[in-house]
Amino acid sequence: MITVNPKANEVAAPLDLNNLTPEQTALEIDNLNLFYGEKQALNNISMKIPKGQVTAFIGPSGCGKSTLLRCINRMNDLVDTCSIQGDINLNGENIYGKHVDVAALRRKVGMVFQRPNPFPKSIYENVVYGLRITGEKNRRVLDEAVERSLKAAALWEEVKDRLHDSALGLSGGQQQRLVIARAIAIEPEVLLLDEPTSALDPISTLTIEELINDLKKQFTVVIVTHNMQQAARVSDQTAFMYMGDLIEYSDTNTLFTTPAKKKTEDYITGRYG
Amino acid sequence: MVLFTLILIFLYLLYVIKPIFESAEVEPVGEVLVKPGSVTLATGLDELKEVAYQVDEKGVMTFYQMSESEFRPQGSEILSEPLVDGEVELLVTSNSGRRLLTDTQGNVKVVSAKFTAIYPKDSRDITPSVDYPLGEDSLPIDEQEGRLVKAAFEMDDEKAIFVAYTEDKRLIKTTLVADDDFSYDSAFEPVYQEIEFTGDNVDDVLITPDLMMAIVRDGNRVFIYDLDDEFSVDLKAELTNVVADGAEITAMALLSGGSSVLIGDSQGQVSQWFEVAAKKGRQFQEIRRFTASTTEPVTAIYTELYRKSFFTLTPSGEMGIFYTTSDADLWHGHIAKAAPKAFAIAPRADALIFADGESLALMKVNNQHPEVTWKALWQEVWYEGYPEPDYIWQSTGGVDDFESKFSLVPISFGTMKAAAYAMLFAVPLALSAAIYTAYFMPPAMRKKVKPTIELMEALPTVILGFLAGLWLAPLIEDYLPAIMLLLIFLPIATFVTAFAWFKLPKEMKARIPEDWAPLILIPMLLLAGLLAFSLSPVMEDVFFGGDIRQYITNDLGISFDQRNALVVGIAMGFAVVPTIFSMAEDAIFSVPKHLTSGSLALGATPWQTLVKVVLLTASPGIFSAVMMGLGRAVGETMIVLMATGNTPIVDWSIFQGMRTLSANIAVEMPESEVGSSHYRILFLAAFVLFVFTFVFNTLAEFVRQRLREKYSSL
Amino acid sequence: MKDWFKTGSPWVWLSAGGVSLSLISVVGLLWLIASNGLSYFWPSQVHQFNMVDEKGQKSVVIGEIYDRERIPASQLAHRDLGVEIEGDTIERLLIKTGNRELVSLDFRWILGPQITEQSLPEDIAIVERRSNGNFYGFLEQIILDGEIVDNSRLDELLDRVNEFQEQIRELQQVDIGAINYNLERLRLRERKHVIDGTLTDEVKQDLEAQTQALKDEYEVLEKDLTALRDQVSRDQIVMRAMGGEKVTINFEQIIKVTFNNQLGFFGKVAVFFDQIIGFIFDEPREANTEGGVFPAIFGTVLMVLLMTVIVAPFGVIAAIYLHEYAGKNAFTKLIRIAVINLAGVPSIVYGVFGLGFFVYMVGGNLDRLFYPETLPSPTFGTPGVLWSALTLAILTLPVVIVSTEEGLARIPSAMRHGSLALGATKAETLWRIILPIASPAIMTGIILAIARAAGEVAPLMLVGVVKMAPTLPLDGNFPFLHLERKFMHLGFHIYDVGFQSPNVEAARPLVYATALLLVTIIIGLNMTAVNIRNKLREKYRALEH
Repeated sequence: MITVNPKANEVAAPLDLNNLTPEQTALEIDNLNLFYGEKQALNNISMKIPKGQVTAFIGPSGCGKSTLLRCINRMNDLVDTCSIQGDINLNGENIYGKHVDVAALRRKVGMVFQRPNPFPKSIYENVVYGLRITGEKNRRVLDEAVERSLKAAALWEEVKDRLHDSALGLSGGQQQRLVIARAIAIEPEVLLLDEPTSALDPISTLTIEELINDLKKQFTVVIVTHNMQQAARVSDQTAFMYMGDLIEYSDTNTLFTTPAKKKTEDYITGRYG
Repeated sequence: MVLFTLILIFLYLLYVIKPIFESAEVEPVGEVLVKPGSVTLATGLDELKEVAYQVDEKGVMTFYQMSESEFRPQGSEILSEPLVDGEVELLVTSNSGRRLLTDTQGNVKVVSAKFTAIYPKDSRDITPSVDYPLGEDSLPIDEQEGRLVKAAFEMDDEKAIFVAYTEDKRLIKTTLVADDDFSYDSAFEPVYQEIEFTGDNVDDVLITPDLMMAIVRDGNRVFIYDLDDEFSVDLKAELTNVVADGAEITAMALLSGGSSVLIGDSQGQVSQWFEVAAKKGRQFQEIRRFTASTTEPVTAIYTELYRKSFFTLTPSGEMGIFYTTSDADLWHGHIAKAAPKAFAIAPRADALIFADGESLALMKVNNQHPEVTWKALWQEVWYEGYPEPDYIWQSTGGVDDFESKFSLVPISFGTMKAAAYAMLFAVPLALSAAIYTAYFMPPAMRKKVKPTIELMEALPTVILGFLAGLWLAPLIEDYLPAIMLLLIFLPIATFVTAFAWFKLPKEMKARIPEDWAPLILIPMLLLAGLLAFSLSPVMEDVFFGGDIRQYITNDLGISFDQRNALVVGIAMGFAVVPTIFSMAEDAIFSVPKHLTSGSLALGATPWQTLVKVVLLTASPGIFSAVMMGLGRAVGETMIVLMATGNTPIVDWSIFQGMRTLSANIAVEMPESEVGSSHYRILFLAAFVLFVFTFVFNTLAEFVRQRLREKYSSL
Repeated sequence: MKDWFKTGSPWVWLSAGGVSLSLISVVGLLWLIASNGLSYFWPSQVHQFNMVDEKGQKSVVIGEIYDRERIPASQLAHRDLGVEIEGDTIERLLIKTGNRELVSLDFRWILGPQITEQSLPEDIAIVERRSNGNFYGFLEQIILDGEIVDNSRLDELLDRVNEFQEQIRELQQVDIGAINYNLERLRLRERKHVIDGTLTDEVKQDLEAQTQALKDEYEVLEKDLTALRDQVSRDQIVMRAMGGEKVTINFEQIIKVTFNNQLGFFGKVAVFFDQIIGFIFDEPREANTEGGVFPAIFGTVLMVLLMTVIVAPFGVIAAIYLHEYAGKNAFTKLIRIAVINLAGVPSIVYGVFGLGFFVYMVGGNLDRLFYPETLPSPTFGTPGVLWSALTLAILTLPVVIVSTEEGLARIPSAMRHGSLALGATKAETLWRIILPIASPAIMTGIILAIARAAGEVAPLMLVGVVKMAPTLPLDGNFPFLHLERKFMHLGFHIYDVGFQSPNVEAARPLVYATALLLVTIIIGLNMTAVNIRNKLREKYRALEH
């Protein structure tokens, strides 16, 4: 039995995902096809992701949800054999355009990975890493960013007295929150979360889910998860993918209670996955 | 960047080596007009090729400026001096370039061209002059004052010897003995001797520069006379089978150094003869043949002053350049329309000058490394004075006219010998240690043992070498029986200990597990070693009459060097063990455990599993390890340098030393002259080493890569 | 028995034997070097032997025992020793008697049976001298300025002399050395003007004035030097040698006088450490058979430093290129094979290449372009410390590359992705994240390279080391670092002293000591590198959890 978190739907009435206005759209994915060599991994994906909301990608293993996610901040560029057709537009501009500065893109689109990957530096240095890269040296600016980000990541209270200790000494859940803090310290527009809690224990998972709820006040959040309950709890929109196709995309409530496609229904009722 | 460096090394080595394999080059440089109407009988050049001279049919020696000069125009006449009174009858050249002239009036003179360098205005000017080393008066060569038809002469500071054939068919030898010293005083006393001669005519006479032998030719018969005896001139030998049937001898010359006789014939062949120690004593033997021309006879043979090369001329003006020792045919070509009557090789053999019609023509000769050919480096070469062809490396010698011998065979052999003995010691030790450490040893022990053995790798080879030379070599020499005993005692001690452990009651076995085998063995092996060493003097007394060295040398007929292959084998083996151990151990260790489990589950013993399954699977890695060890052994320098006698011999004996390519380079390079043949050949040795290790290492690496790919699937 | 064989156990034990033998060899070797090396420093006792030879003549031998041997009695059977021989073997002792002015060889063998009495007289003195080796004997008199003084003042006078010697040395080597150096530079400058054609009268006068100033300075220093020399040369000691002869030794020759037989344990320890310090910091004497090895240490260190400066950036950059930027194509494979091969090339080939290419080609051209005034005497066109450093840099390049690559490979790609996802460029990721994490591995590589360079001798024989370098490559004269100078090297020192010295017996303990020093340094370096590497592995295990 899947319970839909009433909170997620409180904020606004379900959006008409097919007719979003540009101001409402954070990302537009337009006829996206992705190939690993000869093998096609994403088939003609088109969707619009609303601003300031949490959108979830779900689906069985290997359906392409993580691949799709990684397209949004062009992390797939790091794979040699990967080739892309189609566009992804961020604020109207195609991120796959010829003159796009990938590093700048990644500052606008942050990512948190499945396993926490803090740098072997202090907590402080981890958080300000992104800022230092942009050349920020002012100590006050950096301090303020650290406090702001750690607070937003619900980690501040726990680490405020040991900011200069090694980040590797934190627990798994703390590390993941640290990584989130690190990502939001540079104030991106979009935050991508790739199965952020699958390596964590249940309590840390809950903490992070609550966090996500707060985060959407400032950022657009896209989350990939194989945990349907999690998707139901935290997201406003959910996209269901299967074998590289986008099967169904609608507001979370509708998708989980009255799915339009049979495949979707089969998945969420546990017939496969 | 890395690739660049490697290629750079390769190319640079090639660049230095290349010149030694090039053949000679000859190019015309210029000419100088001589007195119109004069017939040039002889010509010559100074060392720096700046001044040339001509002796014409009237006996006048004229010097001309050949090169560009500040002091006079090129081609101008510098000095002209008449040497004799009448027309020249006979003009003979000695090996040192001096000339003997006789004229129609019966005068006999010996002259030489002298060149002095003076430095007005800080630039060099070569000033020629005519020197009469035996005085300006006519020389009383024939006691009976007959006309000389053919003659030869040679002189040193103490005496001048003339061998001549008179018009009345006498073969005479006249020695002019210096009163003092011919280098500054030309006064002398003549001594006359007549030589018994069985021929009808004399076509050629030559005297060796050491004044020991005279070579007289009558048609196809060549006689060699001993000039050393004060009282009589004895026939030393007559050369037989000099030319093929139907051919005639057409030219004769002495090679630089005076040991070899060159004989040219009408079939265009030149044969080289020198004395060889044979069973019956020293005999002249034909050593090798050269083809100057396939169609024409050899008109003349000219030899270089310092090196063992010679030039041939044919009637059509074709010249050939040859080097005797390396059997090298370096150049053929036409230099003139007909064989020049007057021809000379510049003292430094970098040019030649000859009479061409109305002028003296100068040609540049580039022939820098004639003694080095691929054949000479790798095949047996018959050097002057040796009884037979042999592989010899001897780059310097004590004598002045020493001929450097550059066969790479002894030193390459040395490298192989050293490597072979080293591997003989290293491979069993390293592999057995690797097998045990990787397969049977408990992990805790392995963590300590592996780094300890790998520590050996860090040890500088210079220290290993010094210990080998100063400590090990004397030890082995003193305790040789002990070494032989060790070979038997060590395995026996191992087996005995193993068996004893096997027989131990179960409770004790639990306390001392088999895993501790290496530790248990250490004291046992040390004991065995001690036993061997203490028995050594006794053994020496009982079996070898008190001194095993003497025994080996006298009774077995094997010579014994203190610093020999045994020492090198052990020392270098020790250095190579960690290399092989490291890689082999890794290879065996990374064989997946499930293979072992599978075999054991089928009832095989651990040893059987090891041999039949694990080793087979790890064999590429083991092979690769041995290859790398071999590569290292081949390239090792310091140990060999310090632990062998550095003798370049071709002998597998374990009790003899050797010289390797690497040690040879280290020792000889600092003292070799830059750009000389020796220098370049040392580079060639380095190149050979480079290629050798390159091949080995690439092979090993290839095998290792394939192995990695293979295992990633397991 | 047969069953036992069937289990294969004997073969297992045999292979265990391989391990044992290897362990024995390694440990044995180190122990051999250590014991022989350390014994060089430990002060030994001086024995007095009263001997009787076969003719019945008595003699006295004084010296240190260097070696003992038992030889079979049969070997000496042909000599009638005039004494009873018990047993099958005879002991003989190798004694260092020193006193080169009295005997031709300062080592000799004496036969056990011929010793009638052996004692350790307390007041035998060992006089360590600046030239001619040690002197063993009894102190008879001290003569100070022509007058005999009390023997107890020996130490005080020695101190005084040593102080003066220090001043003399400084004066000679530092001050006068500087003057000579500058004079030479002036001469070269003048020659350069001649070659360039710029030698005007003005310039000439200026140079001459400078030369004259230097020469005047030299005169003053010379006077000082002579005065100092006078101070030291006026005192002597008179010693009585083993044969009863009296020998006078000037104080200026003496470095130290010790009475070894009087030393207690702590006294010996003190001398032990004193010797070690001397060994490390003193200059060599007597054609490298005595004294210290400081120039060799200095030369080795300097050259290794130079080499590191060259090889570290090249090696690290090459490794980074290979690991981070290069694609997985045939070209990369080729480069990897090249690296492996570079590692396998015999070191002597590097030496040959270094000699031909660096010394003669590059150095020769450098000379022609920049130092024509010193020709025909070569400056850079001859072996020197710069070329040695370069040659060894090429030789150790693969070590650095392989180690760095290993370190880079350990970094989980999650780390890279994390940085890139934050908007860092590849270069920034490299600089801020990857290199710091890999720095221990880089350090390991550099340490291993240093260890290798300290031990390699063969190539250096061709490109720069010498038996005896009159000056160090680094001194107080501008430009301070003289890259063209030849230098001394610990490894080569071992080869040279062990095999090329005139007196091999005397030199051997020194060689062991030098070998010990070298081995200690190298093993120390290697163990440090291994330690760092192990710590690294632990650290990253945590990262990968």
